[in-house]
Amino acid sequence: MNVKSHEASGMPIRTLLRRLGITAAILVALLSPLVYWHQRVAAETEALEFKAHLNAGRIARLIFTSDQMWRYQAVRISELIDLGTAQVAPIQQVVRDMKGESIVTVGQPISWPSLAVTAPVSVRGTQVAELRLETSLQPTALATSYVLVLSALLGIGCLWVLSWFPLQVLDETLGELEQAEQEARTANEELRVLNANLERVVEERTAAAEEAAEEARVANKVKSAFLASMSHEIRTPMNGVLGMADLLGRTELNDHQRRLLSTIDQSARTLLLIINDILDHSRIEAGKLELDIHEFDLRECVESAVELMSEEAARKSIEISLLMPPSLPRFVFGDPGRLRQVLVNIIGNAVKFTSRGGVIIRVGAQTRDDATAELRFSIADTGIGMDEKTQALLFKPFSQGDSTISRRFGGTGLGLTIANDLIALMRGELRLESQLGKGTTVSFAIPLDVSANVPAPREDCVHVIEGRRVLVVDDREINREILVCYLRDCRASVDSASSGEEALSLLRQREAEGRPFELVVLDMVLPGVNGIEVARRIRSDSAFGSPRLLLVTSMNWHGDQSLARSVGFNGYLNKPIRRDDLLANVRACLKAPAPSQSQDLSAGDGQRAVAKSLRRFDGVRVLIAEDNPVNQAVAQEYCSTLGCQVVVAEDGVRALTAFERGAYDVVLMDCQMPEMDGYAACRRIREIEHVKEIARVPVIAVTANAYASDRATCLAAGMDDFLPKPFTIAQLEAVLAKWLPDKVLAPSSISLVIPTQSKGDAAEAGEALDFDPQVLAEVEQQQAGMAARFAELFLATAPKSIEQIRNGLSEESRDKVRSAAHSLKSACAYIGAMQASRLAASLERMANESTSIEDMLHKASQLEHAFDRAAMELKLITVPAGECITKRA
Amino acid sequence: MFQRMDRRAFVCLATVFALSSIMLTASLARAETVVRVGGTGSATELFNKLNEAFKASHPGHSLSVMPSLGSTGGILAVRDGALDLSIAARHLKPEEAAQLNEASLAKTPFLLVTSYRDPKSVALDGIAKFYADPQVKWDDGTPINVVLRPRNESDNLLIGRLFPGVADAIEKARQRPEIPVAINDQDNANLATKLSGSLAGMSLMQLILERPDLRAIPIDGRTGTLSELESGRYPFARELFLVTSKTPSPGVETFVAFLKSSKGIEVLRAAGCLPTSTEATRVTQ
Repeated sequence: MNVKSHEASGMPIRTLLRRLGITAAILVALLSPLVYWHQRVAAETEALEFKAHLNAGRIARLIFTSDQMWRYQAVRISELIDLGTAQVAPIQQVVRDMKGESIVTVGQPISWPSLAVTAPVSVRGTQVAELRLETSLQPTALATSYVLVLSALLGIGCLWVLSWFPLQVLDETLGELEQAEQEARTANEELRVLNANLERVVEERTAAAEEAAEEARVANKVKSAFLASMSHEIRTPMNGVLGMADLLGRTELNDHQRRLLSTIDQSARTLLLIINDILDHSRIEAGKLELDIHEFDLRECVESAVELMSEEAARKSIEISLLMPPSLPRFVFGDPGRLRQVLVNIIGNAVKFTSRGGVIIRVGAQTRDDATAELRFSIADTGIGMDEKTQALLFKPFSQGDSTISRRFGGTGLGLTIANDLIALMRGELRLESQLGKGTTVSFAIPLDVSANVPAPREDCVHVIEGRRVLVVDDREINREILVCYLRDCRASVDSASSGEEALSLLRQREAEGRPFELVVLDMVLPGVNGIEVARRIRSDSAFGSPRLLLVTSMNWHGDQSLARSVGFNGYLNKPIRRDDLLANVRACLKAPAPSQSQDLSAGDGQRAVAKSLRRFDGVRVLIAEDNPVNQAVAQEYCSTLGCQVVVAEDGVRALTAFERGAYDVVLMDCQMPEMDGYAACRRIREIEHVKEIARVPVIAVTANAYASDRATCLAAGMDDFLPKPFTIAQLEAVLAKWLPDKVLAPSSISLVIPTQSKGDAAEAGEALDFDPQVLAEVEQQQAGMAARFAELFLATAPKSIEQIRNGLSEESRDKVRSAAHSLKSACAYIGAMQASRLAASLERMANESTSIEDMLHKASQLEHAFDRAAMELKLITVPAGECITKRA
Repeated sequence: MFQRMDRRAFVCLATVFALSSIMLTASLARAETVVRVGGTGSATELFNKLNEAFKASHPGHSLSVMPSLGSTGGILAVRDGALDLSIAARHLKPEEAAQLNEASLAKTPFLLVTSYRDPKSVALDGIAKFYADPQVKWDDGTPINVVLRPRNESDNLLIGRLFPGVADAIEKARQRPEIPVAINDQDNANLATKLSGSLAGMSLMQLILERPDLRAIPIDGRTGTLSELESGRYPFARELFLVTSKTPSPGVETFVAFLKSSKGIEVLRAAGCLPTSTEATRVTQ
């Protein structure tokens, strides 16, 4: 108890007790004497009054006997009133007559203090005298003083009892309390010291932990940086190893050397995959992995990922099938590179752990609202499957379901972990269902924003295919489903057969009915009679009609193309089936003249021959306004290939000058250029035409911004059409044909040269995310050596853009960064550096959106990294020029 | 008519004058000398007896007897002229004697009286015990109830002087509050009469004149009678003094002369007093 707490009531308890004791002591010391005094005085008064009345009565009796002469009986009176007055205290009695004259005085004058009473002396009812008695109160005062002394002592006793004693007790209690408090304080102090020690220990340990954590973070960063760096450093020589191995493979080697080389190549590619996995995992673990969200072609993304795994699947003689309903949104916002990586990882695992049967990839969508769709991916295999215990270990890094698995199947064990982390990063969730020995189904769903842009309807495709009778022949139901789905989406009349015999029967039947099939999409591998044999029979017997034949095979067709041509196929298509490839090939086949029974397949194989007959626009004058050298070269090469005469202007101002000096049939106008952008230049062109009253020249906008809003902007500036970057020669041809129909010298054959080769190598999955060699392969298909020239030009000019970005960031000049990123974006796209192109696009967007310089620096660093990797790929292409491209394409 | 009226007026006036003269003469004839007397209470009844005899022998003279004033009161009253003559039971003090005249009148035996019916004689030296010892009783066991007088009362002083050891015994008895104190002679007689077994001091004159129901106690076998006093066998007596102013009035002188006359002496002796002129009387001061 703390005594001070009583001060809250306004008075310390010690003072209160002291005052109480003093008050009681004073009361006792004074009250008792006062009471005693009062009682004594009252008693004295009473006694005196009694005596007075007694004596007055005596006097009265005396006077009664001689009422006229009583004054002379003073002696008697004095004797009378003095009777029996054995007084302790002196007393004076005075008898006065009614005139106030003193008749008798008995006793000495009384000094103070005294008490006086008077009594009337009446005789026969008439007062005749007055008796005054006065007594000394000194004895009473003396007695009272004794009482006072006793009371004072008693008061002191009270003071002691009420004040000193409680205070003493209080002091003792307080002492005990203080001792207890002291002990408590001591205990608290000890506790505080212990606490302080504990806190210090905790702080030390926390500091140590933080230090350890910091060290871990630093180490993690270092590790990540190291891994990234090492990955880059390893990837570079690995690319060299792969490239050199590839080149070495083109030289004269004996079988033993070739096997050794194959082992080297395979080992290097496996190592590259492992490095890529480790790099990604370290970035995810460090929280440094950011999604590069932008609009992308969902179908292209998924199909490319599936296609990457197709060769491995083909090597293992398993089929890989992709079903993407045409109703799926085509353009969505997301990180296509990471989505592709997830798919490649999961599909790669499915292929890896499946030895027979196949892998089926299904993509569905559930629209949440107008702007968002939940995309559902399902990858089902018929592989080894796994039990629940094994499933629980799946998502732990560096672990595989069974230790024997890594020995049997290889791999780092990071694939699913990375996929799981990436899906979580995309706000999705990965699920896994598996049964040991029966297969595994991995599914996940991610929400993606749907772009308002929709793909331009393939009017020509639909126009060509609609209503055409097509027979699909495949023994696998999923493949039939896929083919039928895609073809019926183009309103073709589709029937299907699961075997060669059934197909032949249907053909014969329909021919007999007069409703022959116009196209047979024929799988290579069929139970009983394979695709080649079926084709041969069709071509050898008119009872089957004369349908165009499209061969679909799950195997690389390099070695069988001549055989296919020889038996009369009009085209061939590799599995997994890409919708656009299917439709393009179907359209091409249907547009081709009906083959005779002996027609050689080479008539349909125009991949090389067609390039020679592309000069449909000979003499057409084209003004190309483009600042980027690579884009300039691409446009210039394509136009030249098509027979056009080309003038290149590096910016809008030069384009206007050239336009005024020369006469052009069409202008390909880049929208964003230094000095004067394409919009301003177009407006000026329209003004010149108006002033000079010359015919309107078609101005085709060439821009990497492929959205509807961009198209509207272009049209508002006076442009006539829109050509997205990167564009293909076919797209260029189509645009030219559209606006210069009078200049077309021959029908287009470009459709026949739609690339049908697999775009990548399954083993190059990681590289393919950053660099797509198919782009240059397509270019190379148009004209030999063109890809190499593009690559050389890119390698010569793109570093300048990189440098410009770096300078812009150091100068914090957003315009410079935006301009350089924009220029680099399309240049990268033209040479297949897709990752670098996307990063350049992101950087351009960040420059527009006032993103912080730090974030832009980070993005620029990623861009440089991607550019370096693309540059490495391109160097493999450019040395020796031509051969590599041919091989890789 | 006028004559007739004058005659009537004369007759009337003469009548009035005659009546007035008669009334004045009667008035003058009835005027007598009154002597205002008082003093000790025991003499009050004596004054009444003397008055009767004095008026008889001295027509036109009488006494106006005041109630008991006591010796001192009577002296003071004479001094102040309130009384013409006083009888005191003591001598004048010097300061009183300077203003007044004193003359011995008579002596009367001083008795110890009681209401007890059959008091036996007491020894003189045993009297003090009656006052001092409350346990002393009469023969039949009746308690002795003494009656005291005020300390300065002449009888109190007298009894102290007459009986050896009694003064101290009385002072001791005064410490006993139950003992009554009589304020004058009449009060003394009354108390003694009312109290059973009482013991009080009283003159034979008062006992004879006022006749209280009290009996005199023989002392050493002698009863206090006038003869015993006169014979000298009873020595205990109170002396009475006449106190007058230096210039007494004729009436006073007449009365004093009466006292010394045979008639006066007769009255005194009848009242138990032995006149001072009687040589045979032993006077004890």
